[in-house]
Amino acid sequence: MMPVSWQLAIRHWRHKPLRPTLCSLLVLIGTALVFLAGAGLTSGLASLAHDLQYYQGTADVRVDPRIKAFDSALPPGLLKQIRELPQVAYAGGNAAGIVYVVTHGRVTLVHARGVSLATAWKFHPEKFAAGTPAKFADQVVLDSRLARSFGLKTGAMMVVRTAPGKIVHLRVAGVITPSPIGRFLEPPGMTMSRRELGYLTGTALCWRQIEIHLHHGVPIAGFIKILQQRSGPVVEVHAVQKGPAALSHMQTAFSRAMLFGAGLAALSGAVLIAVMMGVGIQGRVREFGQLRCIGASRNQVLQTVLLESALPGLLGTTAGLVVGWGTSLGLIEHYSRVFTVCKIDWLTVVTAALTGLAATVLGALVPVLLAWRIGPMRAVVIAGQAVSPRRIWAVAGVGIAALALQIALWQIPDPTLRFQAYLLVGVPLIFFGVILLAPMLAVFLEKLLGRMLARLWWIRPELLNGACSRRPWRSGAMVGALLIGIAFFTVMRSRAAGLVASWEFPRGMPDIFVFSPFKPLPAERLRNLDKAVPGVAAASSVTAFWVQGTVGKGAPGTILFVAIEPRSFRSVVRVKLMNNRPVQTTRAFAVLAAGRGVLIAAQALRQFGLAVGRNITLGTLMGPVRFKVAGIAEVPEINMANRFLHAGRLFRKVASIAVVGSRKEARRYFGVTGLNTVMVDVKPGFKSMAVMLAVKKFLSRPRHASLLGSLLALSGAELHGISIGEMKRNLNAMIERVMQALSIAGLGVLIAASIGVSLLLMASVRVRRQELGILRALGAGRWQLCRMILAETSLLIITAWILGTGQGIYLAFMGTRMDQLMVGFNSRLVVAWGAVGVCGALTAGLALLAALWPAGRATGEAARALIASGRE
Amino acid sequence: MTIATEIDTRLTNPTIAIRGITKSYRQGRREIQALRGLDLTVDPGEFVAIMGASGSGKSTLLHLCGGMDAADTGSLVVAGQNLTTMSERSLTTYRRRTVGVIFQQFNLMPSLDVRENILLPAQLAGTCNATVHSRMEELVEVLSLKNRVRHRPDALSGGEQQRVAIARALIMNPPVLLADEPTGNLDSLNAAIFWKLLRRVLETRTMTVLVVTHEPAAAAEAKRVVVLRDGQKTGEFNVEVGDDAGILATRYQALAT
Ligand SMILES: Nc1ncnc2c1ncn2[C@@H]1O[C@H](COP(=O)(O)OP(=O)(O)OP(=O)(O)O)[C@@H](O)[C@H]1O
Ligand SMILES: [Mg+2]
Repeated sequence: MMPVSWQLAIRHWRHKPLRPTLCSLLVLIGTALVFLAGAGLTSGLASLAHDLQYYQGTADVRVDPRIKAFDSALPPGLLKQIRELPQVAYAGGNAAGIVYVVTHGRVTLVHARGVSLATAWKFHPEKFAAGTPAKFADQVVLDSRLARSFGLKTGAMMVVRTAPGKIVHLRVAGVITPSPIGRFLEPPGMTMSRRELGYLTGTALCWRQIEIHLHHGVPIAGFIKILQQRSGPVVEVHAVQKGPAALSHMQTAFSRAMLFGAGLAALSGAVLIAVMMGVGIQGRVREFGQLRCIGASRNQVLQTVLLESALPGLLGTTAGLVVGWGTSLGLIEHYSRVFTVCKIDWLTVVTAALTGLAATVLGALVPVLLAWRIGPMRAVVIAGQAVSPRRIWAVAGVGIAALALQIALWQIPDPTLRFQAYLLVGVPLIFFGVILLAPMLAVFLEKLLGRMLARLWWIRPELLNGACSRRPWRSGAMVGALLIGIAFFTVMRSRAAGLVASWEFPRGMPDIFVFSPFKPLPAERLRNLDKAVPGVAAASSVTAFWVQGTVGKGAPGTILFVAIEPRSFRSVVRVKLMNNRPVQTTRAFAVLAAGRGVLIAAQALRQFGLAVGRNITLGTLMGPVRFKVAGIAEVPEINMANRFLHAGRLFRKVASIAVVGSRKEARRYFGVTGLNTVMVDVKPGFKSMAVMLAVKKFLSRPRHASLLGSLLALSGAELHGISIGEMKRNLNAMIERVMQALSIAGLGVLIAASIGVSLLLMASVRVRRQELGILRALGAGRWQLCRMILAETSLLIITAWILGTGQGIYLAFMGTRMDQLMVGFNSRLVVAWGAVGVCGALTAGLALLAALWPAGRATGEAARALIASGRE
Repeated sequence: MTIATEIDTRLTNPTIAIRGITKSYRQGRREIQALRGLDLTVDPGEFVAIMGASGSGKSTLLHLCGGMDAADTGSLVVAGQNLTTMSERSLTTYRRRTVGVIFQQFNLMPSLDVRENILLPAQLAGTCNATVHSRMEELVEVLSLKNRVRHRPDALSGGEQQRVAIARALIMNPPVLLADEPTGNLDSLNAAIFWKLLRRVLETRTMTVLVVTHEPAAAAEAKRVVVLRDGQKTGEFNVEVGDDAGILATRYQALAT
């Protein structure tokens, strides 16, 4: 025989199946959402680790030039010396160049990696897992993208033209498929012997990087010290971070973002479920009171409720896990370009299951706790009692306190701690604070807009009296459920719009960039560019490279040194210099020209508290040298532009800030002489694309005429040129893609929330059947009642709009501040009003429909049946 | 304690002893005094009717006696148990074993059918044995609910619901019965059946009965009538054999106004 408390639970479900069924559905949605977020997080991290492995390879130690300019190389003979060291098991090098591949009479420029054939595949087994490594000098390994576009297969012969005009045949030894991130970051290329590459490019190629694998048991740190001492300051010897350590930088950023998403999903799911449980809560409290009056003990009531919620909770959770699992697998498969690895760990399953179950049980416990606190008879009559305004204010007060606390969290001085505290505590506080404000606002708006809405829906204003104030908690809960989707979508779309808008290049930027990835640009031609190429108003060349630097007492970090020609730079880039007060530009550039002075971008000012006159220490070839900050430039985009142009290297080194110094300094302190970027301003009346082509042709025309050389020069193919317009378009496309993914997440939450809210509204109309019946019996018309419910729902929708949009905008605003804090990028707050409007209209439409349906059905029934259905 | 002394105390000590209880309800800023220092003593096996104008605090008094609400001040002893100092756990036991309550608003469980509603107290107390079942059958029979046992409360008429509430209050055969307008929804025939049933129960065992009623005819069933006004006892009178409704109504009018 089943205990009576269980029987009661089952009978209750059978008697009123709607609520538990809807509840299971919501639990399903919530669980699936959390599962999805968790699976995305683990799979994303696993994919990242996998891709990183692909990049890092198996080397223990790596040697790079200390100054990472585009044409810097390691001293000749270094690899041989390293190979002779007793600690070294094997070592190999990497070099890079550009070769001209001829297929079907077409000449294509291809990035080539020159490697030590004997060791390359040992260092990068993952890369070669699918392809055969080249074994002989006349063999190449092709990127699968190239192989496809050339129509070449393993074993085929490939025609390569060399710079002096010779033709060489190479055999395709293997085809390797790059990892998804590799595909994005690395241009399609081919791998061959360095010597062969040197021959093809007509230059003695030096190694740009040496990878070392040590004998088992050799202490890496000790070896690094020894090697660093031996090879002097021009090179940098460092350990290759493997596994989790290598991930640390990207992982934290990535997992933060994903955790944030997962947390929001869990939060939204839990709120929705709890709200669902809260609908009709007073009826439940009343029933528990009745049970207690006739002799039920507290434990019996508790058991009934636990079982009552556990059943839909369990059902929903199980179904949610299945749905979540399926959708995760499907989505990860669909986005296999991003997710290389599909990983779903038990933590995800447990978290998803717990969120669903815990939210149900907690939500169900609220009526029990209410009934527990007050006497049985109070519980029976509680439904009829009005809520005192003081309570509503008290709850709103708690909400305001939560919002204030969230502001306080933003004052934590340590940026990392602040970020984490804000994400883990602050953002949930915003959600709770806003939801707690909902009852107050709903009641307030009822007073403010009640008459207007009544007129709008063509009902007597008295019918709207107490629409929210009679049931402030239920109204607040409904608003809470409604606003989550709106807030989520608003913040996602606004962030997307804000980021896209923030990339805008200021007018002071040059019209064209021409960039040479491997070879220095010819210096004397650069000097004559404005005279030699029609349409060029002014030109200035720059080069950028990475150095080590420290600011104040901070840890050394990677800094992008942008070497400029102070005089011509100002004719092309109209830099606005500022500190707290405007700085005289001429004076700043004079400091720059005089030596040991740099300009810094404005975000460095915020990130490191740098100011004009302060020092920044850069690691030069002569050891650390202090540079004075001459001015602060309000051009964060110069940093962005360089990052974009160096996208291929982004993965390896991310400069936290950029400094602008003179070319003279670059030569003296860092030994960088070559120039790889030229910025051009176009004369009015000229098309920038045409001028760009002319500049490219002019700069790449070979000194000694040859057929192939002229052919290439005609196309200017070996230079990357980009006009600002195009660059902006490219950046926008890139950002847009990322934001699309984010918006899909927002849309997902919006849809899930809409389903949840619709279910809630249906349930909440159903629990009012008796009230509707009485009104019908007293002479209210069917459509009058429907309109009344629609008017009430609009009141809820308006409240949710105000709170949801407000919250979304606030979150988007905090997002811009987080950008500033963590990335140093000054993004702007742009509210995507269009999207907000569409989303609002969508939510409103759905909510009204969801309310209308049960209202129409309920009011269609006979009044007597309606009254009886609520008689308890 | 020997059986003799137990019987002794039960007979000499009153079943219900109420001293100066007050109860007020708070609604926002307003406070409603439902009971203001009420005293009442009911002897074991006594049958007392409580009368009073609407809102005079009758139901409140009954709820306090049933251990379903707590008094603000004063003492309340029912069947030797001091309700004002009892723990929640013993209050539950008290509600299960000592009192049976017929509510003015019935308070039937909407999800259970008639039979289950009647059996519910026994099931909650864990004493749902064959005796209880046969008592249920008997009550259903007597209260003419026989062909309604599978119906749920919302499909019953007001009188039928009231009869279910009566059966539920009697199913545990409690020593104290608290009835709030038990015949308020019943026609005269069914009301007569209820009084007959109650009389029969009282013949077979000692049961202390507290009935709230508006109807002088119902009060005529009692031994004593207590009149409440504004939460206070304004007087009481005994019902003599042969007193009819008219006489009682006049006496009540005299005390109530
Ligand atoms: N839960 C409550 N909250 C606020 N006031 C209450 C509550 N219950 C009863 N009251 C008030 O207490 C007073 C006494 O109520 P009670 O229900 O005891 O009256 P009653 O004598 O049973 O009346 P009736 O004969 O109409 O049933 C009334 O004024 C009533 O409005
Ligand atoms: Mg009453």
